[in-house]
Amino acid sequence: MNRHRTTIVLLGGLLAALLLGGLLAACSGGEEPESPATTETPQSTQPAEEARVQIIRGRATLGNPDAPILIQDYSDFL
Amino acid sequence: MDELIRTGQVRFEYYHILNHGPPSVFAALATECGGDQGAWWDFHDHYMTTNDFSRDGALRHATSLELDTEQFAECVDSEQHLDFVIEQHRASVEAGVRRTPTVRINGEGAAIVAEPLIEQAQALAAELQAQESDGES
Repeated sequence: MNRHRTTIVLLGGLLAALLLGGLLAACSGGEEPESPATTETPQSTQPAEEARVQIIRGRATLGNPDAPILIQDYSDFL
Repeated sequence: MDELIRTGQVRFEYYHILNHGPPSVFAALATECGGDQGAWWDFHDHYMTTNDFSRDGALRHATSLELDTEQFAECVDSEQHLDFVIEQHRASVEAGVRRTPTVRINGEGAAIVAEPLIEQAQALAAELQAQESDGES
């Protein structure tokens, strides 16, 4: 009798665990797992690194205003 | 040249010269109108590689750059920057510019082609670096 009762309790526990697992899976909505923070770090620093090596592009000007060499180009597009 | 500009040794400035009449003026105006929306160099590079100096061509390019085409068209049609580009041309001619392209390095120069320009700039950059090194030692 006790053995039969133990089996019922174990089966009940197993069923409850399965139901809980199913409920949690449904709540997660099948979303992708979040990316670890370490994979985002290089992306967030990339623009700063690019900006450092980019040519400063002003209106009709390129480069550092304090550059020792000034090149003036007088041109016609045609 | 990019390397010299990127490393802070060279600054480059472009001046409009209008030696070829209305197409020259239109291209300069369209470039300045593009500049109003942050696309000055996009138009400069465009006109360096195209023979299309039409209004439609400029509008197509503005569209491809996802600019505000209504604002761009109004700017071009009203010749918003006409006084500026004419004055730039006039002042450049007064300063001795006769042919294009005329390139000046630190205020000196004449009509020269791109390759010697790079060589001259590189030589000048090397000279300045040498002077700096001498000053430090």
